[in-house]
Amino acid sequence: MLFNSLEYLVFLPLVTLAYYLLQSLRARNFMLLLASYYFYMQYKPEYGLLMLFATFVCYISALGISKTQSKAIKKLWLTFSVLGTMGLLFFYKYFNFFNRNVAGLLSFFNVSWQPLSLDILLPVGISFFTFQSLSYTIDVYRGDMVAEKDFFTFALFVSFFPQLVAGPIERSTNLLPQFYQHNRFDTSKAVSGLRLMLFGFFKKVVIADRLAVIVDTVYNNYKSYNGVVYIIATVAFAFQIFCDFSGYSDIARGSARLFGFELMSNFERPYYSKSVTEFWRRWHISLSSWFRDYLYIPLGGSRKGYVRTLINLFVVFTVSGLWHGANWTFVVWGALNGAAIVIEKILGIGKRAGKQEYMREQAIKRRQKPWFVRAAVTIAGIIPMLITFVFICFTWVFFRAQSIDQALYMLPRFLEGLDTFDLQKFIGTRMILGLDSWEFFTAIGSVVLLELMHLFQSVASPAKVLNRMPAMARLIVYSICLSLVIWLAWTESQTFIYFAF
Amino acid sequence: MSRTKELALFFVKGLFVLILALLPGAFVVCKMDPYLFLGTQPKPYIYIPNERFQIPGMARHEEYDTVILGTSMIENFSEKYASEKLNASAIKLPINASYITEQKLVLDIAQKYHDIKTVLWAVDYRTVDIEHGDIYSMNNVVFPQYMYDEEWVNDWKYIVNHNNFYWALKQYRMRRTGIDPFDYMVTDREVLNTWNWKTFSRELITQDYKDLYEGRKSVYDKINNLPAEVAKKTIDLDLIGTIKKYPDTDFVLFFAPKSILWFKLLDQMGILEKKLDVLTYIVDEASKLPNVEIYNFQNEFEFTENLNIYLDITHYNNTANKYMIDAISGKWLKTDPESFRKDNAELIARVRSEEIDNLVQEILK
Repeated sequence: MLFNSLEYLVFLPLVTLAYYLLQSLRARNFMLLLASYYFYMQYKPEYGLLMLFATFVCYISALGISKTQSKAIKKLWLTFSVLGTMGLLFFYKYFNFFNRNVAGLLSFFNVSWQPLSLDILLPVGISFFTFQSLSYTIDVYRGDMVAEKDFFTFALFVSFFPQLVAGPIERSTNLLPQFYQHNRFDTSKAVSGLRLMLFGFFKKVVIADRLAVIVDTVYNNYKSYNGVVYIIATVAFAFQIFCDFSGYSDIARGSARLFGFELMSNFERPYYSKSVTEFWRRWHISLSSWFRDYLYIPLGGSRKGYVRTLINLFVVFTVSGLWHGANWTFVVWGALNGAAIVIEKILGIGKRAGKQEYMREQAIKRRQKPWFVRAAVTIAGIIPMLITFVFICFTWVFFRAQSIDQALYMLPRFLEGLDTFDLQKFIGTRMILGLDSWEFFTAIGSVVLLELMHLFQSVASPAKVLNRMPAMARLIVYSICLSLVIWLAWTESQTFIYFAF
Repeated sequence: MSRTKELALFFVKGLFVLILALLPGAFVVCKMDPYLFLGTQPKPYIYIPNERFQIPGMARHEEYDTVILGTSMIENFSEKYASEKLNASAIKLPINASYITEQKLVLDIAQKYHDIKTVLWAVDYRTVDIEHGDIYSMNNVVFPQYMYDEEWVNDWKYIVNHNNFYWALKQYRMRRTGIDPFDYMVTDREVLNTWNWKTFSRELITQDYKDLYEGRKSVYDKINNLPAEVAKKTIDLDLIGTIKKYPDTDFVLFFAPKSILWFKLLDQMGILEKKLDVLTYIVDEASKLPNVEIYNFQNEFEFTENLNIYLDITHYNNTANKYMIDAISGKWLKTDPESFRKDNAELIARVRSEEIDNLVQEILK
């Protein structure tokens, strides 16, 4: 079931209503579990079995770990859990890719081997629920989490429908204890959840779905274009993927908030980052922190010397690329980001700005300076932001291209024909890159509006500003926002990009 | 504040926000009425060639006394020419690739709002080759039943519809700029849904035949090939039943001149005789009714074998449409059960003739 479907708009209120009508915690959780499986099995009923399998493997592994004192047996259970979940992921996501590449490698050595190819569809959200369930077993193994005894509660943790298909990848330490809270319907929480969902829908159906047309038009017929059009399509993709994915996360977090649950934030205005390192602290936070905690640190993190730290960083980002899809384009995309982070580490760019208190002091000092100094500092801050954005867009070319060949064909042509580009002619045509001119400018206007909202968020808390407004004014603002989403939604609803990962 | 009051206030506020959010778009849709569904669209009307959505509004709010009904086979008729020749005020209400179910719904609307003198109905095998009540889902777009059902409670689906809002804004812009910025909407009903701007040639139809024959395109997009008994039941309920429902209206049923290659293809698939058997059933049953005339253009070989007038294996240009109007107004080519059987025998013989075999061999080379 898609968030941007009529079914979900019926499903969510019904489940919310049922949740609060039920008094017993156990009944509530069981109902949420059934609803989550129903939600997931709408894609394909068989997928439910795969999720159940991953759930069962991690559940018994964690119980096994908690019931023994022997380190060796604990390790055995952990291995069982890793093999079970990652085996599932490997089989459904990487089997064909692996075989193709082995066959390619063998043919390089003149060994002929016909790769076995499985005719299977990638189950929606498999990368998310396998990672989430595995993190739980690792947490139990490390002693950060007590093994969950109730199978149904654990199954709900793995399958909780708002974040099931595309995250945020929740930690058991955050989400599992929340299933033991007896939540009362809280109108202020519900309003804040609905507000978050509204923002998510705006990003998804008004911006991302519209930009998708521009991106698909160019990237699916890349040989027909070059120069400025490549730049427009790639910048459009940067906003499409952000709005698509962060829109999903907002809807997920907003939906969960209706039940009184708090999911982790997945995006913090990533395109305002001044370095690639900072970008990865603000982009897909739940995945970045997953890789930090469950791959980077086990690899040694920064504890095994400077060179090893750099290698670890590079490896983690390359693997994170592969997590996105069984295609070399994703591996290159991850490796490019990893390389950038390694270089920034060497150059000392992108370090955390320091503690909150220090930040506050700096802000006060800045405010005491004359306006032109403040303006100069702001402008100087924009330059690294732009450089980072350009680099991220460069990596998005690999992410969006169907193949490495396509990316390598496009990249040298980004600067072709810039001098001969006729802007008047370009915007004066009836159809602009697959959208009619009206739609094209709606897309640009919506992106501008989004960025204005982001700028506003950087100086004030929208929630606080809204709460300070008179009730009627607040309701009118909500109506205008809802109106924008309803009436400016792109007419052909599309699935979320991250469903494919 | 009590808990109940707090919850009640929450829902009332939510409802208020929702209604307020829906109002601006709904107002624009009601004011511009892009598909002429409500009858509030300012004149001159602007038409969107999206037939499933546009036709019910036209059937309701246009002025006419004669209806031309059917699929894409009628899209190239000139309303002016038909009106002049038939001494009537004619409107064509085509729904491309539709079944008889949709056509019947259009006729019901037309009959409800107008005093219809004559209905010219292009009937073919495909439109009745369905289970009774089936509706064709064109490009997976859900058929807008609410536009046909005459139930005012369903009209909100038209009003609270962001697709319609989108078209309303486009029409508004078109009215202000005075041009068609999208080369899509038209203000002249005479050119609405016609294909006069398209190319018709022997190359196009022969390529289409080759693609169908060699399996690159599926014939089953064009026909379902259900058992003949199923089609006959649909004919009884939907065609004959509808004609009986409107005894004061004259019905002119006609079989359009699809190309000889189409008939050849059906013969090669082994279903030509079955198709003709179903059409014969229509002629047999309809001939019993006093308000029906039937015309057969399938045997007009000067058209069906003139491949230059076709766009693909079935679609002809407007010379064929004009000819059909001439024949109907002059009452030539009227058929009855006996002559239709003779025509069918002649058609089968022609399709299997050496000349047509040679033509096909040449195309498939």
